[in-house]
Amino acid sequence: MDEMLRSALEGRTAAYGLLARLLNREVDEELLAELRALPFAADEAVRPNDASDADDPGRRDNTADLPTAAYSADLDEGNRLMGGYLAGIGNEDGDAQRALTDLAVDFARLFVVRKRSESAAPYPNESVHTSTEHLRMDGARDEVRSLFRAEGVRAADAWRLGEDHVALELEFMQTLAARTVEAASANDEGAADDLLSKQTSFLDRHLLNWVPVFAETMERTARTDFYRGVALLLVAHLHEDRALVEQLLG
Amino acid sequence: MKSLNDITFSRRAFMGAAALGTAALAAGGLEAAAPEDAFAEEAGGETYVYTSCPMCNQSVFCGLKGTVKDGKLVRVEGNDQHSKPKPCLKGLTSLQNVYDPNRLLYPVKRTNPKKGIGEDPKWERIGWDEALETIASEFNKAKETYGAASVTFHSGDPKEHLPVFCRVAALFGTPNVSWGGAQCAFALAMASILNYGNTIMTMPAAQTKVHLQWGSNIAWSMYPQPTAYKGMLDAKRAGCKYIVIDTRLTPTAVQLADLYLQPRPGTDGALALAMANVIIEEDLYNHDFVENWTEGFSEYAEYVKEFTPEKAAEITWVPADKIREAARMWAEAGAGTMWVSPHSTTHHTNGVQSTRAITLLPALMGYWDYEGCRTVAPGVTGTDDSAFQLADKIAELAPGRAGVDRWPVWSAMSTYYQNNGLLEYINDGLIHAGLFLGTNLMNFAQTPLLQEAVSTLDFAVACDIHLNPWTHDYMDMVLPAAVCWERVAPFQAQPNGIIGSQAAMKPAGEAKEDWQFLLDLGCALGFEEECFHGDLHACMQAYLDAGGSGATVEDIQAALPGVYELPMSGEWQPRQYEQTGFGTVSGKVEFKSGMLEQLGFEGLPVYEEPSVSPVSTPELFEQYPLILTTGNRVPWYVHSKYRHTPWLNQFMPEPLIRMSHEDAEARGLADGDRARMFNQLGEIQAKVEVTNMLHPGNVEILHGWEQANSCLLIDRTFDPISGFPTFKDALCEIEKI
Repeated sequence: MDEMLRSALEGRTAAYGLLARLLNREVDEELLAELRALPFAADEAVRPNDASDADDPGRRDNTADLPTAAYSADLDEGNRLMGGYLAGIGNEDGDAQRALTDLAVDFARLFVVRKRSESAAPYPNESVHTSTEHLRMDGARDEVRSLFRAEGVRAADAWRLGEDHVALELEFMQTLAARTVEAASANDEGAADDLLSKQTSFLDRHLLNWVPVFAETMERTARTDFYRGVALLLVAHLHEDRALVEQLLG
Repeated sequence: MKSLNDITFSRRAFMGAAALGTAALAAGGLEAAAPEDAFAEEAGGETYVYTSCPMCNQSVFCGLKGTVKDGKLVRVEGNDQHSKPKPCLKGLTSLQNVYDPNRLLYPVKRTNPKKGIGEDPKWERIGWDEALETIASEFNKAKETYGAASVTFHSGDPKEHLPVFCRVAALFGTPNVSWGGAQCAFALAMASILNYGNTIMTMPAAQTKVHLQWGSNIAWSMYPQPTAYKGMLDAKRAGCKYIVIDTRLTPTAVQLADLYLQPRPGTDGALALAMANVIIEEDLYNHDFVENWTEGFSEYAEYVKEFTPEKAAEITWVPADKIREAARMWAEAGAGTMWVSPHSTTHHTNGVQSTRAITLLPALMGYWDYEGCRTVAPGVTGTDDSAFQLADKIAELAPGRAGVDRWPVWSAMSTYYQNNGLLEYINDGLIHAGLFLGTNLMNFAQTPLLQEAVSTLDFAVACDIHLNPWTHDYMDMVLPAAVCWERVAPFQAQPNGIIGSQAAMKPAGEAKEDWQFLLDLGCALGFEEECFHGDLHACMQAYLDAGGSGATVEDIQAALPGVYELPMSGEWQPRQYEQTGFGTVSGKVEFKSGMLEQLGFEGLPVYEEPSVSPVSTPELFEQYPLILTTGNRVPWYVHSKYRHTPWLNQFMPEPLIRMSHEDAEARGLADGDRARMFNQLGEIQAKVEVTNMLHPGNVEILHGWEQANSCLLIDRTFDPISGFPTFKDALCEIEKI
């Protein structure tokens, strides 16, 4: 398998993993350190390259320029917001802890704290968005659970939030994406295509069916640029990945 | 699969993703998914579990059967082997409550140290270990500084946690434990116990000739249970006559009443005394019973002389002839039963005395302990949980309760403290910390005062199904409670034994069932041994052992869906009082209460105007000419619970001001108009519903709406005997917006 393909397939796997992690629980000390080491702060780093960028320090060392048509404003904005938030954390004693609390409060605001009368919060379960009575564990959960079973996957024993939770749906994609890497590494094109088809279908029937609305509410509700950025990146990633998978399948 | 060289996609995207991936891998990869290895065991289709409905929560109530499929509760129906086999729509809706997306599923603590109205707590999710350690440390700090009594174990409407709640509180050493009976139920019980040493309320039986239904709309309130109302309709078909007395023309009145009386709110005592006046003046009372088995009759007879039907008609709005007719119908029947609402006649400043006057009407006739009347039947054995609750320790601690001097009768009759004084207890420095389980601060008149007071506590933790800003914003921590389908602990007493509960699934998120949380708290507080090292099963067994039935937890589970039967303590024989007397100071039914006199109150069931009324506060009545009652019931909600559950919410999605056609017309209001309701204390806004139920001059609003809190219009005055709030003593005016 060519390295660029491997890198692309591994990259998308990891991206699903990170998004799942970010939407599953709060950022902890270790993850914060990792995130702060990532290069997604600078605007320029993610702008499409063009001739005028020749001397730009943020320019990616790409062998091929990015086509302008593929430019995703949301991806850029998501990177800018998350990167900006992380860059704004000071290096004095207690700064990281303050940021962790700040992020934890925002996480709770997004996914834990609800009024009984609420109906427009960023509910992390698909079924809340798609069931007529706005409930957890409705039809979407059953469908997702049955897809999990078909792939030999189940929710961990400690999981109590339904299989249609955004983190678990993203982990399902992560699992299938990892299997795609394995199939491609073994040059089993049939298996890889089959896996990619399943991922296309899961994106269309599930994640892309509700996550854009979820993420829009999430972006509106969040009070930190970090989680506003996560919301934008999440949807941008799903769209871009959907396009990538389609292109891979030809 | 195509090669990347063949496709044109945003490389920038995957570069970004690859970079993100570094962090993702460092974070540990898959967290919530696992390889499948356990589907076979649940591939068998549907299974059934049995529990008891907590929706009404007088205690856990009707029997429920749940169908579980693929790890999910898919259907709820009645358990036909339960003594209450037919749940109402609230019980069926427990299915939606489990999967309510707004449930609180994790412990949260506030990160904003500033507390008070308008402060965002800035909740942060925490783990149970941190939660329990913090609570234990804060409670023990308060105990060392101010004494154990400075920590209140404050319970709202739920009841099924009480055995463990009381046990842990007693171990900790605080007597300041409350329960929901302090606003509902217990004042009614007090009134009848003061009279008879026992409760009087009962449903009509086959031999009952007349039933007096007072202030209770059973057709709607579903109390004591849905099937009870069917029993009342059956009794009517069998020939029982019904006298229905209610300030509102309720469905119960329309469907059951042979005679309907509609008194002015708060004048029930005067009406009952006038009925007694007729019964005595016309010599219809049971001389034998009154002479041999009652105390204080001559003074009572003298007192009721002043309540002639004509005088009572002026006080109560009920025509004198109707009072006479009701008195005769009651007295001439030969066998009568009575049902009084636990929360209508008691929600006035004259609550207990008025309710005593009402519940003494059977005494005049000797309608006690024979066929067709209230029968004192022996109960099942082996269910006494007082030893488990550490009743002896509670009795030792009881004199240290807050409010003992303020409400001595309540304090003499109940082991709980009267929590209607919570505001003053906090402001006077008696309470410094608290556990608030199922507590709603909208339960208290002048709610904002309570919100401010709770904010001043050194530490306050709540435990609830939802995170409710009007209560929990003033707390330091809130813990998630499991719902009925997620718990195994509560046992339920049945007429012939005891019935258990099964869980349909593990609690959602990190919710815990009450018993488990309380055991864990007890252990954290240092009572490992007494709290069974947190072992729920061991605790349940200890509870059963304390009752002495000899049953094991497994026996009770194995009996499901049926009842685990226990022997009865004897067979019912009529008129047991001839051997045992009555459980009062005098050993007789007391027209003049010995206990009330001992504690400095008038022993006769005297009538006094409510503290706020057209008669007692004429100057207020001029400004606010409508009598307001709050705290009534509708069929689809119990208090503020489950208001947003779709199957229930559809019937009444928002608060309503109910008023008569006459009062609406006089104010230019039509059904559905928005209006402001206000008085000298506050204002709320809601839609108007014009109804035949309300007598002109009376209006009502349901309690517990966050957007229209009825308690803003209620004063902090209390029945001095019960300490009950006066949810039905208010005046107001209404204007179109």
